[in-house]
Order: sequence, then structure tokens, then C-alpha cells
Amino acid sequence: MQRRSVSGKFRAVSRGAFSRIPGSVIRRVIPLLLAVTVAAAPAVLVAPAEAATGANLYIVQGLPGKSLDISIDGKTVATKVATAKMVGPFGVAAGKRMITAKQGATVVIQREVTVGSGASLDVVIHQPVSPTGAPVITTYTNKLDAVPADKGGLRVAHDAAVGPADILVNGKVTFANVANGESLEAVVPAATYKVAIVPAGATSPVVLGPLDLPIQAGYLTRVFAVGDPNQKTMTVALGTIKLPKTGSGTPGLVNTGTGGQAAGLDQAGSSAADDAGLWVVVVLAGLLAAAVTVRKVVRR
Amino acid sequence: MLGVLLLCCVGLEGCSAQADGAVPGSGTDGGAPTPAPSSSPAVPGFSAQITPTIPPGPAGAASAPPGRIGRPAPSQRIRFIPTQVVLPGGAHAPVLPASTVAGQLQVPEGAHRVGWWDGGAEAGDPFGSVVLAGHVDTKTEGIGFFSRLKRIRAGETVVLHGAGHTASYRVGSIVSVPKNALATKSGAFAQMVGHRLVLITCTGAYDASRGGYEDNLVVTATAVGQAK
Repeated sequence: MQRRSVSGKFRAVSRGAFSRIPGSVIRRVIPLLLAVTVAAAPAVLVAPAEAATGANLYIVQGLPGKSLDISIDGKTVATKVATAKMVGPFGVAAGKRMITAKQGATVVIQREVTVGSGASLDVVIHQPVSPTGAPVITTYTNKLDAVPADKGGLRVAHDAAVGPADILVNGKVTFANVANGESLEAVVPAATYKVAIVPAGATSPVVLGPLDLPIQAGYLTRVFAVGDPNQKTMTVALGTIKLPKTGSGTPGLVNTGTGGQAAGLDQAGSSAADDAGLWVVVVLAGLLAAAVTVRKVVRR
Repeated sequence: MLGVLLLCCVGLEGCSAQADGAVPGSGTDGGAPTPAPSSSPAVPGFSAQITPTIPPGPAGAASAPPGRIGRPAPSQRIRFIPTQVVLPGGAHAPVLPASTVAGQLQVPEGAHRVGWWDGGAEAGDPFGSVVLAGHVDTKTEGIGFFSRLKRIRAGETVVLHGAGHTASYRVGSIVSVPKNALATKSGAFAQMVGHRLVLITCTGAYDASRGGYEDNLVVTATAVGQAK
């Protein structure tokens, strides 16, 4: 019963989310959305029932060439998760949770992750720096701080089998020297950015991209760079979470003078003011000359 | 191809992620996962709850190494809401958040206080204008703190402080624009620009019967390094 009411709420919210997407995009994306929504149905069903306990887990499959079954505390929550796919949120109780990823009957990796009360946590299954190393699990806490209406949060994580990297945004190094397991975050204007990843301190070879990264206003977009450039398996996993809103709209007017007393002061960048200033100097010089003359006269 | 992938992922997460914001407040069982009746899963193969099947404690099979905890890279930017502005020469003033109400920025009362527009960038952001507006004068207090902007010169440094952090900016341009063109023509509030500081006050001729000063003075300064 609880499940039914919460999933009803979920549907209402998702209509809102769709309505913010331009119509043309909806037409192009809807078949895909339907497909992935069906695939994600188990995730959705799991989430509301457990959400009362306060923590949400998202799981990112960052291992190239694998299709993984994911379980939390021994309970399967998603099956056949392809590379660069994110599943969740899964509502879990705070505390230590066991994450297991299997391919068929083989356990690929099993790790215990610590989940804070009320946390939103991304659990990433990925390669270490060494392409031949055993898979690792890295967790990233989602900061769900409010952003202004026209901005979004962005967090880029390095979960690829490659050394430290610079992340170029619109051709400029915006995030420098990020190593495997590290991430960087920022609040940026909502827009589509050209993002590329290059070795730290170099401009080539390009590890990934440049690719178009849309940052939606009012959402935290998490980007996970996964794969191995030498095997040409580099790609990104993406996920978004709605953020609260802060701040007010753009002002049309700024009134910062109500007395008029400053109207006589010099004004920068105005030739009239400069001329006035020059006249003041001339007048002062004249007065000074006059004063000197007077003193001289008095001395005589 | 990648574009499709991106859109697809964003679409999916944009809706499924809603559950994050829709966490029901009513806890049912004090936080422990509730066992689901195994006979009635809504979707074959999936039950509504995650039920631990591995018993906790040393006797269980639940021992596994801990996962790594992702760290911020050393180059993680610091961002902060400014609470103090220091102008060239060392004169400083408190900065308070200021909102737009009915299209007008509500600069804090007091000739010696400065407002930070709460819809703009914070100090240290990679993009966008940090907008500060302050009084050139007030009826009751006379000359205001930002009257100093009339003497500011390109190349001088303005410093912001807040939450124990510091950001420095070098003055690039000083222009006056008609007050009604500030938002539309000056770009003072632009966010889709490189990170910068924009200081605003009033200037030009003063005519109380025509809304006071006719112009805004706009000082634009670019970031010197990252916030510390």
C-alpha cells in the first residue's frame, strides 16, 4: 500500500520533469526513455519503501565489457547492468551496506560501504589506475546544496584506468590534475559544455571527448569518466539529482544613491569630470601662486 | 551517438532521481529494512524492499574490505559567499546577501554596507559575475562606502573575504551606463562568462524628481588566481 502511494507520487513528479524538456527533445528521446524506464522499474520500486530510513544509493557500472548483476546486502537490485549505466536510487538504511557485483555466477567485486544517515551516495564499480588491476569500488557523497535558478551543480569523477588528468571545459582547464578515485565539483550556469579529458599538464593525447555535456538548471549532474584509453573503452556515466533552489532573479534596476551628496564628486571614465578635475588643479595652482605672492609681499 | 547516450542517461536519472527529493518522512520500522513477503513481489524477481540475507556480525559471510571513499582532487575550487569587501587602499565594508524584489535589487540599508546579489556567482566559482552593489550616498547618512568607486583605477586590486576564505580581483574596466540599461546592456549580471567581480553604484547627474542618479557606475574586475 505504501508502495502504491509513493510510486503515484513518483509519477506525478516525473511528469513535471518531462515538462521542462523542450518538445522536440521529448519526441526524440521518449522511445529511449520508455525503454530505460522499464529497465529501471525494479530500482524505482525498491527506492520508496526503503527511503524512510533516509539514505539513497546510486550504483554506477564502470567496468568495460561487463554486464553486472548488482546486489545490496545480498538482495539483487539490478541485473545485467551494462557499462557506463547508473542504476538507482535504492533506498537503504544508514550504516554499513554490502555491495556485490556479479557477472553470471562469478563475483567480480564485493565491498562494504558506509552510508551516512540521510546521505545520497554514488557507488562506482570501476577499474583502478592500472588497467590490469582488480576492480575497485569508490563512493562519492552527493552534495545536494541549493543553487540559483539558472545554474546547476556539476561533479566530475575520475574512475578510469589512466593517470592524473586535466578536465577541459569549453577548451579551458577548469579542473586540474584529477587522479583515479578523485572528483571535483562546481556550480555552473545551465548550458551545454564541451568537455574533454587530457593527461594532466598536457593537451594531448585526448583521453576522452570533447563531448557535449548538458548541465540542467536546478540539477546536480554527476559525470564519471570510466574505461581504459589504451583499449579505447573510455566513456562516461551520467546521473542527475534535483537540487533545491536559492537566490533571486536578475535585477532590472539598482538604485544606490538616494541623497545626491556624491553628485559633485569626480567621476571615473568621464571626460567632463577629467576636465573639471583639471580646472580644479589649475585653480588650486593659481591660489597657491597667489598665496606665495602674498607671503612674499608680507615679508617685505 | 554520445549525445544520444547523454540525453538518455539524463532523462532516466532526471526522473528516477526524483525519489531523492521525495523521501517520505514517516519512518515505519525504526530504520531497519523490513522483510518483504516473498510470495508477492510486484515485479517477478524483485521485491519492494532490500532485505539483508547475509546476517551481520562476525559469524556471517558479510566480511568484505571497505570500498574506497572518493576524495576531492587537490585542485578543488573553494567557493564562498562574500561577507566583506576590501577596496584598493584598504577601506573595507561588510557585505550582506541582497535579493531582487519586483525587479529591483534590495541593497542593504546603511551607507556603509554593501549587498551581494544572491542570484549571481559566489566568489571562487569557475563562471559568472559576483555582483556587489553599494550606496554612493543616502539621504540620512551622506556619502556612502561605494563613492570610493569613483576613484578606483584599472589594475588596482579588490579583495573579498568570507567563511575564512579570500578571493582577489584586478580591476579591468570602469564604465558608467544609464540606469535603465544596466541589466540589458552592461552585462553586469551575466553568468555565462568567465569568473569576475562586478561592483555597482550610482553616478551621473542627480535629480530627485527623476529617480535620483541617472547612471550606474560599473566596475569589472577579473579573478587573480583561485579563491583560497
